[in-house]
Amino acid sequence: MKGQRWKSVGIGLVAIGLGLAVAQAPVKVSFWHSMGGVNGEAVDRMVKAYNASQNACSVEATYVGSYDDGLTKLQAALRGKNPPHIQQIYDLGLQAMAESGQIIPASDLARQDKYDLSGILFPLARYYNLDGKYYGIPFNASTAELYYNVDALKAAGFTRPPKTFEEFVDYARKLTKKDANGSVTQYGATIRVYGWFIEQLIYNQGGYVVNNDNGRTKRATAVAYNGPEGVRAVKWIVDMTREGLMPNVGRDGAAQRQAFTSGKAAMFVESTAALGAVQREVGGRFQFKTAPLPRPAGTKGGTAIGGAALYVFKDHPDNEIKCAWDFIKYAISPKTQFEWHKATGYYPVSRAALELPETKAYWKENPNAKTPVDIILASPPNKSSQGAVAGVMPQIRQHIEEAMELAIAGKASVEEALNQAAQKSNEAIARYNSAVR
Amino acid sequence: MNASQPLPQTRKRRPWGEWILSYAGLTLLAVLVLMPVLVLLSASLKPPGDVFEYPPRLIPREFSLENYQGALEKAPLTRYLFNTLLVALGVTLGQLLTSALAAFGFARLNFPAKRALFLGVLGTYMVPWELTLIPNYLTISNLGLLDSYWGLVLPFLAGAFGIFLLRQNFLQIPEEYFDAAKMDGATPLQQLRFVAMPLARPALASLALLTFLNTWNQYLWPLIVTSAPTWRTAQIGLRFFLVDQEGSNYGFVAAGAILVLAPTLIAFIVLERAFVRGISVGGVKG
Repeated sequence: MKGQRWKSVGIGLVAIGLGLAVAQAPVKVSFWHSMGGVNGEAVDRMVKAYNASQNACSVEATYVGSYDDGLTKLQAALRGKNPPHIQQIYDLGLQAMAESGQIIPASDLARQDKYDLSGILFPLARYYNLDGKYYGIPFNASTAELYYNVDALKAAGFTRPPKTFEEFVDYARKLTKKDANGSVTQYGATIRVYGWFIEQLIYNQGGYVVNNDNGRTKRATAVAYNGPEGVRAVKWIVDMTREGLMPNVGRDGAAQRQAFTSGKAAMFVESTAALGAVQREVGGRFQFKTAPLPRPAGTKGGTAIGGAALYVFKDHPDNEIKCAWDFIKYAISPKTQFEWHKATGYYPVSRAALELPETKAYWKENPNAKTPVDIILASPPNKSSQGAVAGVMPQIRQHIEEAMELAIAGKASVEEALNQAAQKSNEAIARYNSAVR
Repeated sequence: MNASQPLPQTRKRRPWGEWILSYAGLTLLAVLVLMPVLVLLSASLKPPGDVFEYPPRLIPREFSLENYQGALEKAPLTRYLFNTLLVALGVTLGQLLTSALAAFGFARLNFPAKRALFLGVLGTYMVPWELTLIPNYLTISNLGLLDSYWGLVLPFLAGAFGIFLLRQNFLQIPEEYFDAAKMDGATPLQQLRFVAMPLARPALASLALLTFLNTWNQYLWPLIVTSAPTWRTAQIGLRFFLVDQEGSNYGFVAAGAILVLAPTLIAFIVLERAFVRGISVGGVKG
């Protein structure tokens, strides 16, 4: 009898415990991201801190490989009707995501929540707004910049980085050194075959990558990268490579970076997000600084943003969507963005994060970390530096890269190669547009 | 089979010069082939700061296990490796079994529409695997097998290549062996088990090796059917260290790659022995 009673008390206690656990079980939200290495660890820290900060929601971060791998996984998941709640998708995915019909526009989520999105940095706001609406929320933001070896430049008699294409070539000639056997001991610079650089160099001259003002006034129907700005940018790189001022590193980002960090090349162009890696690899063996990309003398313009945004997917219960949105708000809050900036080299996405005293103190110690913000805020507010939108941007980038390879190999002139590439891109755009409309 | 031709009793010794030359050439080629692995091994054993020193040196100035420690800490590589091993072994055993059964049927048994069926099997070999990615995903998803070992193993349990390879092999075994077995009252399954499989050992070993390596190196399929770390495989762990724009930590990449590479080398050494034995066994009987 007695034992029986204790047993029922025990059962009662367990039931109460279970009840509490059920009542308090946080709503689970999945977050797919493409941040590996140090950046991936920063994502994990951010998610952990968010989960610890409240009891209602629990975010589970999953690394899904590169951005492109992530899109493949997403495609499968969408067909299987089990998409994640949140996915980080690169800048180029904007139009395709907006037109997919699978996401909830971030502007709608913000409106329901009366959350003010006007604090997002202007250049990011301009890039990610399509028809006056945010579809995703910018999360990790970068741009392209010039890294230069201060010691090597000083040894060649230069005290500031080159500002124009012409100056850059002059610098590169003086920085290229050969030993007695005629083999190169130091290259002037290294710029790999990367379509994104060409896009940025076009914007830096005020040009367009696709027509209809970068696809911003109307849907893009053809590419514009084979215009004078694109030809100048590609020619600049091809000529320097063929003259032997730059090693031909192909498309390999790591080879390019290592050429610089090992001291083999004195300058290079890369995403601002590479700052941490460059710092780690240089390891204090020489002093380096960052600066805006050069442009042909007499042109005007500014670079566009790079990076990725967070998108929220449909077909989840309301409470889960609410949690997903809550996490996004946390991810772009000033304090979180400052930590993210410090850990990764991506710059903060909101004005409030730039104003934080912590941020200002950090920049005083690390002036290189501030360069991307200076670059992006100095970009003129026009449709060139707003960045191109087209459903097939990833293919367009591929076509540009193929053209660069042809020209570097000397199999075609820069103009020929770009015109051929443009033809392929235009076909791809036509196919995409007819499939969407 | 060249059983009718007697082997020469004594072979003429090759002149020393030729011997040295051929060994020198082979050594050079072996070093060339092994170079990337040696560079990888060397990078994995360097202290993190030394990976990028210039000029690069093959033998580390100082040996350090820091990269291994780091790689194992930053990604659950031990769990991932265990998963990969289990999946690769499962797929290999499954492939050997299904391929041997199907191949024996196509090679030795008679049944209606045999030719058409075989052509159908071969036809699936022509379908690029990327095309089957989404349909396979949907099947696995509908079966509720996302995030499970079954999801990783099931789609690869049978393959046209294995069936084709073993069928061709079984067809080359002289009819007489099977006749003798039949005379002793062997069922088709027994003929497969005691006649065909032992004689086809080299083919089985190469199929096992290829399947094991292919499964071991899979990346995209495990990536799309698993999300929880519990079920993920080593190649995904390795990819985590390779960051595109932001810069990879090459010390970790090298250490991780060596850890992921080692089991495949062991598999090769083990199976190579079976491979060689298979040849000698077949030769003696022939």
